[in-house]
Amino acid sequence: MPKTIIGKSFIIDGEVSSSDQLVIEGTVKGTIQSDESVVVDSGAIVEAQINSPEVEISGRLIGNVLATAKVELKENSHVVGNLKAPSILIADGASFKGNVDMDC
Amino acid sequence: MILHPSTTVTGHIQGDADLQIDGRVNGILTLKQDLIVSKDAIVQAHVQAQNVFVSGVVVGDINAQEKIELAPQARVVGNLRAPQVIISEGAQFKGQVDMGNLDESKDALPVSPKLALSPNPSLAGIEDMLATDSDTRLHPSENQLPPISTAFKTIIHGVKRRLI
Repeated sequence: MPKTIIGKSFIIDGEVSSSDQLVIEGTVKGTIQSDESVVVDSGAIVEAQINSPEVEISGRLIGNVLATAKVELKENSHVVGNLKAPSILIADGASFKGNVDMDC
Repeated sequence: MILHPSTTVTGHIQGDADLQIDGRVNGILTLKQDLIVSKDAIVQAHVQAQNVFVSGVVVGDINAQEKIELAPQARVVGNLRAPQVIISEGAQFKGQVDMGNLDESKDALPVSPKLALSPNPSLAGIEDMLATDSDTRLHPSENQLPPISTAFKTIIHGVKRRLI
């Protein structure tokens, strides 16, 4: 499956959108949109609204997540924002502050 | 980092590593390493990088610390600024190129400061003559000077063009 990786040393201020999977390892401020899935890697710093069917967070996120399928906050993730998806998983060790809405 | 054809970025991209764009980018690119704009990529941005290789479309100014290379398929509109600029055969380009290594004061013809500051006196003379010529045509009766022959006019035009 093709995927675009926003590398560790990159900082994007604006809008990133893709029809394939997006993996964020660097820093993104703004909006992230994918037609497949968005992965926020463990070293990543994201200050953005994320729109994607599936979202997986292992790094730091400040912003809202809107997923049509699933949101997963992995161990050691740090999230401040609201999550909206039919399926939301928060792993042991994740730190989260915000609203959870599974009423999709 | 590679931005695939399916990916669009709007905004400012900063990075310390090489960036290859296969998709679309609108905004500003500030890179410490190289930028590659692939064949099908469309970049509408102000670009700053170490080296820039373009095979796709770039609309915007490109500044490179070392080299800018436009491949045969490249289509670029903007100004290029780098010590080394290569435009390959087949590349389409519109804009200015500045390689920054030409010392303009050294290359210019030696002219005294006085002449450089004031408008060229010989050119001004010809301007007057041309003005007289048109006046002659407009008001033949008011002008006492004999009309300038067509051949002489052609010479004057030639001289003026060369001086400009």
